[in-house]
Amino acid sequence: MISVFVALSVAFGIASVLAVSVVQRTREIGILRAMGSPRRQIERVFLLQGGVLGLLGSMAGAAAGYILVWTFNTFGPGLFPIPVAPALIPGAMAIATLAGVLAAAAPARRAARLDPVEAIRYA
Amino acid sequence: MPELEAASGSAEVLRLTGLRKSYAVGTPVESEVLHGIDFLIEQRDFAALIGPSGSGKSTLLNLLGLLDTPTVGEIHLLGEATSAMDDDARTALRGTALGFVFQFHHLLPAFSALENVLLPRMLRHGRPTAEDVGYARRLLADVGLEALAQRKPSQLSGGQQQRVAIARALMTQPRLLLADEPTGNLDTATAAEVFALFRRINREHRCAVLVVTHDPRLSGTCDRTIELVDGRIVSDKRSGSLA
Repeated sequence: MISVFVALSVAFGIASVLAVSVVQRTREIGILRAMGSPRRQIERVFLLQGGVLGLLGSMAGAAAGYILVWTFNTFGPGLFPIPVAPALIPGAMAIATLAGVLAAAAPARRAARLDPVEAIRYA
Repeated sequence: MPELEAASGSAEVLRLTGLRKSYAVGTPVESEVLHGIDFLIEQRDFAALIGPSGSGKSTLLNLLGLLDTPTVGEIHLLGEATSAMDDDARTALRGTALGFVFQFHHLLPAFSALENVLLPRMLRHGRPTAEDVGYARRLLADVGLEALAQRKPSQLSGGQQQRVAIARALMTQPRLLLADEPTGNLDTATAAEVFALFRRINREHRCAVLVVTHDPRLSGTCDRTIELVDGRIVSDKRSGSLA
């Protein structure tokens, strides 16, 4: 249950970052469209960005978590050890990457549908 | 090495027929901005589109650039009717046949001048080849910026940034260069230099040039002046020096 909520919070976090990114890059998106970039290409850029954010975030999170658990197990009170299954880490990273791509779907679609004329004029 | 294209059999680049553009179609506030535009752009044309604010110049330029679709009428680009094309087909044609220069250079700040020039090529074909890089360098040399190829846009002056934007517009060897107030952000001397560059491009790259400008001194240097008032072409004059 906890992991579901963690995945949901990752997805919402990435979706909000990308929604802001689409707004900030509106004019650049318009220029790329004017230069002949198809809608699908714009969509792919943001989907990729979502996936990369999920992957890099989960790598950093996994490394930080691993170090904290190791510190607790080594220097902690020693009442109980916290087990970490190494196989869990790539699985969690894969889920976070997928969550990033899925979270990027809505902002990516919005970026791809921007009217180039309006996007170029966007101040 | 991509070669500059030779002239095709026909000199016609763009033809507009009965072009009308309305906004808010089907609503009580529907308004027609362009009221039936007909004209032809030929490969030799170095033309200015002039007119007061609100005359429909930008709307017309967006239609010519296939960035927008007309409500009525047809745009033929290189002989192809474009109104029935879907977005992908119009985007592909736009990317190969047209070059754009805007009032603001709109260069991507994280990329060098050379990378910005290569961008249109990369968007269509991915990683640039050595030939592409060589061609982009030639274009930068053409606009007098070969030595500044590795500089970021923030390290260039306003005139230099606009010249990079012009080189970028030429990267796909377009048949028509559309420029929307390209000198609106530049001082008089730099604006004249940019116009001289457009003229050279028109001759050397065999590329028609259509420039929207408010500046009568600059439009006076063009071979053809099309004047738009209240969404209608009120005059279309060629200078006497041309046959």
